[in-house]
Amino acid sequence: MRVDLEDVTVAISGKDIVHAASLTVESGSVVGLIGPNGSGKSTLLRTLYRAVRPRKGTVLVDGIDVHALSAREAARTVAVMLQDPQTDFDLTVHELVLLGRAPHRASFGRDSADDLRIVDDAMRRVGVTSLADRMVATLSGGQRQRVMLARALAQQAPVLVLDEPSNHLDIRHQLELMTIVRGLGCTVIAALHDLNLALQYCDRVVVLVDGRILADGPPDAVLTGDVIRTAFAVEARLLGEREDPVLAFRALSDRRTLTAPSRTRTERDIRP
Amino acid sequence: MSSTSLTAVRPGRRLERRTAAICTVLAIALVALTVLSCAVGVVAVTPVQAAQTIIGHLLPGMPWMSDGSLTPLQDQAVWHFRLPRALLAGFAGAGLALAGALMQVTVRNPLAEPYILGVSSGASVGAVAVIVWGSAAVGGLSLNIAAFIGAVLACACVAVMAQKDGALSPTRMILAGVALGTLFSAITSYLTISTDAQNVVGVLFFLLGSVSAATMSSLIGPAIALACGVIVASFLARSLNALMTGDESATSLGVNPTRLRALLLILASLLTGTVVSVAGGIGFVGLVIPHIARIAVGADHRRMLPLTVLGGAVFLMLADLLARTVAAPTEIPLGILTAFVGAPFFLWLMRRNGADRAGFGR
Repeated sequence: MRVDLEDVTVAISGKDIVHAASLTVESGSVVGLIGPNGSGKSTLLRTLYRAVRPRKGTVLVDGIDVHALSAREAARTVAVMLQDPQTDFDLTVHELVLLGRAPHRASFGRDSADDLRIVDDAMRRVGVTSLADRMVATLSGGQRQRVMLARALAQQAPVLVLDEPSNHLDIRHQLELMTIVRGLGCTVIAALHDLNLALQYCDRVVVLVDGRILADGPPDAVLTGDVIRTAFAVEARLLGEREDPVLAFRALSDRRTLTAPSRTRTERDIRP
Repeated sequence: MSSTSLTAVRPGRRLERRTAAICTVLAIALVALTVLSCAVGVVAVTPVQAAQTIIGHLLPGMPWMSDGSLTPLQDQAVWHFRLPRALLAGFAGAGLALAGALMQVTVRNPLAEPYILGVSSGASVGAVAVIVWGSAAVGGLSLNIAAFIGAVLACACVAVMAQKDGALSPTRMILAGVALGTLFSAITSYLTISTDAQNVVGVLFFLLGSVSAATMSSLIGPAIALACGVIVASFLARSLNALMTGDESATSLGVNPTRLRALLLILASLLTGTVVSVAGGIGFVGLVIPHIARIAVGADHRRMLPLTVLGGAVFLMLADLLARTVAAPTEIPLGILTAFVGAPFFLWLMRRNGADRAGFGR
């Protein structure tokens, strides 16, 4: 399903975090959202799964405003892999993944055979089947991330939102995650920190700086030294072969002219 | 990745079976305790006679009701004193435990209990006002009604204070509840200290909780609230599981956290208010029974809620039976007994390995 964000402005406690951002994600494509910390990536994504309502603008999935849908309809349309489940009362991995079926079922009753098969499938795909009986709180950060992906997969929504999915993951699981996500065939929007993952796996990359879209296009056209310098204030060079490019980063060289720390002022400085 | 299996993995099945087994045992215990409670007291009644009396009142035309095998005194003791009391203990235990479980997930805090939102301190103000000033001074309200109004008002105050920008935040709910609870307690304390000495015992009895004043009509409120609570909660079980994983996560699963929280708040205050207004501030049940249920069958509400309701009822009926018998003919207030029996049991349970599975190791 096609996703359109039109002129989306989001305010959090009265302050605009995202300013009139517009972007289109074609059905079945994978779009990477990149930008420095605090640039508004997560906030923009949160409008998609309705954790926040835009102050202005619309969020359309398949031409329908997600904020006009019922909560359950929206959850059947957009699934999200959240950063970390916060549970004071712990669930098992299997129970947590089963929650992905909640939008499809009434709030009571037993789990259907279908649900169990879908959950089983999602867990096997992500490789957390052997963790099924473990309590979520006892897992490592990376394992927890994968369980959250399994839950999002079990939700079987046509649009998948990933908020920094590669956090805590070792390199193998980072690549595996992106491969799984690519292979789903659903529309994917992912906030990514790793620009090389964006370069390697995304159909398009959108750069967000201070809540404004700076660049939008195919990865090799967007992830240039100029754009990266403007967005992240680092030097970037493209290495590797043409068909398998890799970005290397270095701190900006003109950063040596840092201001000296100011001396502590004490009352001894007072001169009559 | 693991090998393909034809059957879906089903780790929950073992716990489901355990839930069914424990619930069956608790249901049998509930019936046994009801009969036993009706057979214990000053007027000698055998358990068989107690059962006969109860059945005889429920079903017409039982031979033993008219053949003289039961004296009118026995009939009176069982039907008008012991049965309402046992049932009130059951309803109160079930209601408070359910309210506790709902509050714990509402504010996502293991320390939450039915009274955390100031419901009992609100009820106390109402009840103590009637005890101290007399019913006429507060518009002719009975103690029970005044207590219920106090409970509902306290809860409404907390909801108003915790609500901001259309959202009910758990932290604000807890803090507003604690702050308002302290305020109401201060009012109760002032009323208590400034009244005649003879009233103090009555106040204390209410604050500690007791089911000794139970009549058949006093059961109506808690019974209706419990029925509503059980039905609504069972329909909400999956949404409660979703809420447990955080607001943002719940939203992404199609659950509106604020709307659900508001509903839970109403449900919990109704359950607590109706119980407190007739049985006073019985502590401990609402905090501990939900945790025991989680230790036994895990945190999934579809399993832990039935256990919580039945477990709460059994626990309080047992506590009341002990309250009447251990120091007979003197009666120990129920609140004291629940803590005396419950605290050591819970501490023992908490230190076992099974508790770590329920998240106690963190």
